[in-house]
Amino acid sequence: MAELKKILHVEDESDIREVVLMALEAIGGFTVESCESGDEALKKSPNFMPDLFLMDIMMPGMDGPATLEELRKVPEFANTPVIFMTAKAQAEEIARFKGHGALDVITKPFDPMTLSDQIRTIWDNI
Amino acid sequence: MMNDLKSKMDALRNEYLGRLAGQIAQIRSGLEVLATDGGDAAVADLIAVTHKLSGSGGTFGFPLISRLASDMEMLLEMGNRDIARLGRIGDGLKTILDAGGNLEADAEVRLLDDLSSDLIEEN
Repeated sequence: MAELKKILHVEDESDIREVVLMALEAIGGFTVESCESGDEALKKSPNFMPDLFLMDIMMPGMDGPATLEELRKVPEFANTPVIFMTAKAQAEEIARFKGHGALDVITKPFDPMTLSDQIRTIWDNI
Repeated sequence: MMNDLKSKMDALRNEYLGRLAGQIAQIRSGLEVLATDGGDAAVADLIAVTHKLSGSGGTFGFPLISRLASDMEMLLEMGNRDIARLGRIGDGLKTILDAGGNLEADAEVRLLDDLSSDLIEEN
């Protein structure tokens, strides 16, 4: 698998967007584009061309799985890896999201200091 | 670099704490609305705000906020409408907020003990 450099993060909560941006750029050394909605992610993705989507599940309007479904219709993102983030992660839900094409699910709350390592570990296991 | 990160994280944490009061007030007033009209809209609003706190509290260093908010969210999603029980959890959130987002160890034990029959048992 190619090196992970660019991550597009989709999250409706500004607090979480800020802390994820800090964790992934300053600690992880990734280039990050933050989006507050699925719609914004669909608009920004073609220019940014992320290696990975990191996406909240429960968002107003288009939620994470619906956003993933729309992204999959774009040929460039048909196979781009996706990691979901959620505060609710029952085992059966995690299995369902993986069945929908997610690499993995990271549960919230998360530790900002180790988030990058967590993502790299998931990426390295592709 | 680590010092810069720590100061940035501290700043984000303080901003978060500043907004927490409004969110906890929203939960407590939402419970009052639920007690009077019992409507789906009140429940949906409460689930939305408790879901946010559940996911964000621990991320910013306030794990007990996440724990109580998560339990309230789960109770609401399971159809629990026991206003007294939900209200005690809401009061617990206010207690934590008033202490600056985290309790001293003995106060945390006391709070969890007081709420032992209200919170969902941890596996």
